[in-house]
Amino acid sequence: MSISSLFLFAAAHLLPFISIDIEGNVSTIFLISTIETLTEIDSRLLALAGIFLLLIAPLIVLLVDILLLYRLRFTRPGGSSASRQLLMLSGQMRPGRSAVSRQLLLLAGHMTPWNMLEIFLLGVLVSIVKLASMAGITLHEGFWAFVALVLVNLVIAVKLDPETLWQALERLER
Amino acid sequence: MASTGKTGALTARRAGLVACHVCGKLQPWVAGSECSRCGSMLHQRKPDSLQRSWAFLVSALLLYFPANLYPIMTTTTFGVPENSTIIGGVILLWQYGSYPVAAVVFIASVMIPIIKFLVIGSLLLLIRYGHPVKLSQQTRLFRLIEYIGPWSMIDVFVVILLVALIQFGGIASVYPGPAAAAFAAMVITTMFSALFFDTRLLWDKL
Repeated sequence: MSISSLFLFAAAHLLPFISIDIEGNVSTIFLISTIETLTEIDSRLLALAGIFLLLIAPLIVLLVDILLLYRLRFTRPGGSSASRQLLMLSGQMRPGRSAVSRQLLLLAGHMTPWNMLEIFLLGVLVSIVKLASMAGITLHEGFWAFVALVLVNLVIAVKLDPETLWQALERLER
Repeated sequence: MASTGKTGALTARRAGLVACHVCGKLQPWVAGSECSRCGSMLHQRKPDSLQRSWAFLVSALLLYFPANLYPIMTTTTFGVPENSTIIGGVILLWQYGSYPVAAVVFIASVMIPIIKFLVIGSLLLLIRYGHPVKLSQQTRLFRLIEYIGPWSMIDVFVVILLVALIQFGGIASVYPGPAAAAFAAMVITTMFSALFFDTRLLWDKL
């Protein structure tokens, strides 16, 4: 893996704590509380769609990317002593572990079309415009974190295509 | 790939190769075998592609009507409920002078689903009855449709957000209408329809 993947790895590592930040308005809400409210007023289908499209699918894709980059980086022969130790440790259960990686990458592949963060961002912008005439709107940190998350996700999607990961995994198994 | 050699064109299938439709690895085709890289079952074409694609397309088409005719959300101001449909929302935005936003919502919620129906439907018909013309253009058209499909979800997300934001009890509250669920279901079914569609079936016409 090249330097760019290490760079992305660092960027990707920063992401999870960003996404659980606060999203706010006059009645301040969290990103998660949208789903809470939906469950409260009994529109389960919308709540399910929200949870899946905005939470589960993006999170799975992100976690799999991080895990695989981590694994691909540290199971490469000829790394530092620490990574060599890791390599030795993982040496015994190597076939099992690559099977896990394979499953993870398959899962991420199935989740990718349902990753709708950037679409939600557009939805947020439309809502803001809709509300702007009726109420004062204050954007909190969570909103900006979300914008950053969408941007970084975009960069990852462009730079790290699944084919690269599959090929790297294949090289590892050989 | 502008090879117009009607029947003599070399395709992966004719070369005895198959690309795994899960991970994309190209490999020799052995019936009933698994992909050497990701372990998924190999198929020359996605199984029952046409049937599944049709089924989801028809369900999406059926959902399109309630999604547009029923109110997508209900705004209750001082106890007075007011329904708004997708089109109503677009018109309102237009009247407020937010033309770009109105355009975005109109394209995402009204145009994209219709375009998707037309494109997937016509490609499906073409596979059944058509001749191989402009295959690479058709394939590109499908890729475009596949990409823009999820963007119709914008309106659903707007509803989700407004519902969560505006809960001031008696003063003003927003509730999702029956169209919201129908619309979300419609977008999801069209996405499935596109996922099951196999563009290689177009190239089989060569």
